[in-house]
Amino acid sequence: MVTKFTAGNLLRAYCDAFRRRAGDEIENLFAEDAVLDLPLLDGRVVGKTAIVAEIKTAIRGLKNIKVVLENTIETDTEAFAEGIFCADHIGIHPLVDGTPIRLDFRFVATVKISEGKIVRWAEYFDTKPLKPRERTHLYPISRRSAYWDGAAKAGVSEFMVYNHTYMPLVYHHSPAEEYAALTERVTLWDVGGERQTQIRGADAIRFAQLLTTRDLSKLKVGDCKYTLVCDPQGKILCDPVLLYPWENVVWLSHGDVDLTLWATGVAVNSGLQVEIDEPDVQPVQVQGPKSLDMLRNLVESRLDSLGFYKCVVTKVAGIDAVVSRTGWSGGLGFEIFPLASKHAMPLWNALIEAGRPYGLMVTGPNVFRAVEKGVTDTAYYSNSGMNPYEAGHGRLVDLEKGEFVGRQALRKVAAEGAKRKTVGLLIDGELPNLEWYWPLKDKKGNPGEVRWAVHSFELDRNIGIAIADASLELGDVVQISHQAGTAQGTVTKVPFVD
Amino acid sequence: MTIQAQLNAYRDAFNGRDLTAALMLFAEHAVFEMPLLGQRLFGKREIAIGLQRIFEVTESAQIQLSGAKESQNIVIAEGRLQAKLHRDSHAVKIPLAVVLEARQNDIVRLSTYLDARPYRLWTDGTLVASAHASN
Repeated sequence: MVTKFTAGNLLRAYCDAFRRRAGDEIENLFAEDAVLDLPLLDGRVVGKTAIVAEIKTAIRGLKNIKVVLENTIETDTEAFAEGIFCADHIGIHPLVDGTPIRLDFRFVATVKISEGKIVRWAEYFDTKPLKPRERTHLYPISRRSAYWDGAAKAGVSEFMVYNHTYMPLVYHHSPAEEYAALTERVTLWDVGGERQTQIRGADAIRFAQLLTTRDLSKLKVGDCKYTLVCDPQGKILCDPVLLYPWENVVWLSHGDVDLTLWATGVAVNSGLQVEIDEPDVQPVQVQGPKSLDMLRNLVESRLDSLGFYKCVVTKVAGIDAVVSRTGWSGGLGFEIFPLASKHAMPLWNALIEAGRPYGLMVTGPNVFRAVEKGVTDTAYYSNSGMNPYEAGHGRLVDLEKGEFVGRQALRKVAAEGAKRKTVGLLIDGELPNLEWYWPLKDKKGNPGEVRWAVHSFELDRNIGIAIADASLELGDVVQISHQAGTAQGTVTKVPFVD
Repeated sequence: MTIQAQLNAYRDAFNGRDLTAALMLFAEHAVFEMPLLGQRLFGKREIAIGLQRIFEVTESAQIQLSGAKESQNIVIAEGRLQAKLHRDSHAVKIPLAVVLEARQNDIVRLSTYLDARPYRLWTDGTLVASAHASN
C-alpha cells in the first residue's frame, strides 16, 4: 500500500509488488501514457497496457524473487536507485552439474511520476549474464537447415538433431517470453529439419493407404491428415502430417525418423507405380493468434478460407510454396513449404518484415505449449514400442480400409485391448531436464514412464505425459523417479488446457 | 569539488580518452565496474589497464549524461554511451546509468550499468558460422 505518492514510494511499491509477483498491483502504479525503458526489450514500451503485459510476462517466468534497494536518491517527482535483483528462472533447467540457472544482477532504476502515477520507468543492467552461456557444439556430420543464417541472426543457442538436421530450440529469450509470444502474438520457427517423404505417381494414394493407418479413400487435393506410420508389429514409426498438394503427389511431413528410406523399401515390392524421394523442401512454422493477420497480405491465396488441416499451392512473398493450416502449437498457425531451399532465406526475411507490426518472435517449437495442449511427437527408437492405441491415437487407425503395414498386429491389439495408455500427470515439486524417460512407481510396482515433462505457464505448475498401465485411473497418485530425486504425480487427462 | 563535478570530470576525461586525468579522480583502492570489461577492477593499476583497453578497442567512445540525482556521497546519473569499435562498421548507442561514490574528494566506486551483450570486447563475434559452406 502506497502511503504517499512520492517517486520513492512508488519505486518501492513497484519493487515490492514485483517481488510478490503481484502484477495487478503494478498495473495501478502506472499512468495511462507511461513509458518503460528496459534493456531486455528491443525498444521503448509505450502505454500502461503494453507495459503491464510485459511485466506480467516477466513475472510469470520468475520465482523466488528478491529485490534489494541499496542506494535511493529521491525527490517528490523523481527517484534514482541502485539495487540487486535475484530470482530463479522458471522453465530453464539447471546445468548438467546441477548449477541452477538464476537471474541475479545489479541494476539502476529511475522513476518519474506525475499526479501520483509513474510516467517513466527505466532500468539499466547488463543482460549478457542472463543469456545462455554457451551454444550447442556443432559438428559437420549433421545437416543445417536452409534458414540457418536467419536462426543465427535471431540468436539461436541450442539445437537438437532432428532428421539428421540441426533444429533450433533455444534462442535468447526466456521461456515465459516465448510462451507469451506464441499464445498472445505470433512466432516464427525454423523447422527445416521437418522433412517431406514424397510419394509421386498414379498410385500415390494407394501407396499412402498401404503405408499409413487412416483411410484416405476420400482424400481430395488440398486436404491434410494427421496420421500414423507403423511397422509390421503395429509399433508407431512416426506420426506425420499427410499433405495432398497436387494430384498424384503425397507428402508425409514427418518427425525424427528415416521415413523416406522405409517408404522406399516398402515400395520396392508393392507392385504400385510410385516414386519415393525427399524433395528439396524445408518448411517454417508461423504459429500464434496473430499468424493469420500477419500472413493475410503476404500470401497470394485467401488464407481466411483455408480450413484446419487444409493446404494450398500458392505464392508467399512472391515465392512458390505450399501453405498448410497445420502446426505444432495446438492453436492457430500455418506451415509454409517453399518449393526449393534456395528460396528459404528470402522467405524468412519477408516473414520477419511482415511480422514486425505484430510483435513476431523467432523461437523454437514451444514444448511448454505443446505438452499443455497434448500435442506431442513420436520417435521410433525411443517410443517404448508404443502402438497407436497406447499412444491415445486409436482414432487414427482404420482397420477396415484395406491392407496397410501393421494392420494384422493392430487388429489383434484392438481385439484384446491395449495394455498401456497415455495419461497426463500433474506433478508436484521441482523437475530437472528430461534427459531420458523417468520411471513411475506405485504400490503395485512400475506402472510406466514419463515421456514429456514441462512447466505449464497456464497452470503455473509442472505437468507431464506418461505411457502407463491401462489400469491407472484419473486421480491415482504415482511417484516419479528422476535424475535429481523424486516427485509426486497425479493422473489426469490430456490435454491439460483447452 | 562536488560529487556532480567529479562525475562530469570523469565523463570529460573518458570522452577525451585522457587516461591520466581519469586516474587522478580515483582513490588508490577504488572499485571500477563496467560490463564491457566483464569484471570488477580494483585499484588504480587495474583501472588504468581497463580504461586503456577500452580506448584501444574503440575508435570513439562518448558518454552523454542526461539526468542525475545526488546525495552526500553518491550520484546516480542516466544517459547514453555512443561507441564505435574498430571491428564494427557503425557506432552504437547504448542507454547507460552511472553510479559514482566518493569519499574525501576521491572516487571510491564508479559503476557503469549498460547492456553490453552485443558489444563485449573479447569473445563475442558471430555466434555461429555462416551457412555458406553448408547444405
